[in-house]
Amino acid sequence: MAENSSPLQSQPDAKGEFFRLVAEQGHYGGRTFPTSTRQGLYVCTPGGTTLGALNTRDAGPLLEMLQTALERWDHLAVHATSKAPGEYDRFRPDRYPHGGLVLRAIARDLPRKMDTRIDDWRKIAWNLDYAWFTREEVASLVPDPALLGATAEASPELVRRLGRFHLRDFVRGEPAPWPADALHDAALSSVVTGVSGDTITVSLHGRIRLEAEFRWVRQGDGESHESPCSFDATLSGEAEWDRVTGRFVRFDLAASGPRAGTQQYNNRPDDLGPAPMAVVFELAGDTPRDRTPPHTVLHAQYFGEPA
Amino acid sequence: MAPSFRDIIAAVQPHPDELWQTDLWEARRLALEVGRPIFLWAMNGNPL
Repeated sequence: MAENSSPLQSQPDAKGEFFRLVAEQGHYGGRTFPTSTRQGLYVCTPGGTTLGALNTRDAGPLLEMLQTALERWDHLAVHATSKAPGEYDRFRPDRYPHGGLVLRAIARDLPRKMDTRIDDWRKIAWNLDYAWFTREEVASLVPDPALLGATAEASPELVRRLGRFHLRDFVRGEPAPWPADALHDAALSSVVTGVSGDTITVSLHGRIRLEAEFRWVRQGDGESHESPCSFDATLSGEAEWDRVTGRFVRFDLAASGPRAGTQQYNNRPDDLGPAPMAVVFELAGDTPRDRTPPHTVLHAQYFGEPA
Repeated sequence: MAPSFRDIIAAVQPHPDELWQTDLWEARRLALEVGRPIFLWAMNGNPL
């Protein structure tokens, strides 16, 4: 199983406590410098006994850890705790937008005329995220009445979240959300291009321009950094709305254009640009994997609440 | 291939060669049910 350890490292509920029980027996147990991260790969019993742990990108050490952990499991006298874990008071509510729109977002650099990037993983990097919108927010994209040629404007909330939280340069890593004043020329509109029975086809068009200066202090040596960042995204796509269920059954949207700058955790210091990048969005499935929350969902303003 | 949105989406898609439970509490329940240990991939950010 796979989960974001950032909230689990501190959240005051039963799941957080279980994670910390496992992690404190592992490779980073007790560590506070240079960070208090507990990220890594663990094998544990359902009762919380850690059988193996490490943090690596290499298959060899991971395989060795897994084999050792399974040997320890085989030698345990008791495998199970006395009772199955029941419901618990969640510190954070589940904000999965049932009945709304769940998109898979993929970011990658687009081809460039003059390419000076180093010929390694950075040249072929891509990354994955998810985007959540409520039923009310996405309904704003469907003209009413849905006659051929009718138009609609996406709600300000949908455009704000799309821009600030999803049009980030996450090709190589984890950038912060854009600040509120970074959003310029932000609009997304739809036009009905087809009506067939209960299915309405709309084309999507728009632009979102983002600009902000990011500043950070590097952990370890305390050195200050700053970088002007931007992404001038042209939006285009097509979607199909099912009138019966009130949901999009297809949603294809591309956001592409020049990006520039770097941030603390997005691995761009050697590629400040401007250079072309795209973030593309498609409907996600409903397996547990596709219910992975958006990377920035814990930000106080993701769903529009004040900071 | 002003590339169309379909061109852009196709250019960005991962290659098949480049391609899970996501709730630790649910994984714990399932592990008890099947009598196996839990493999936990935890990252600051979302592993998947």
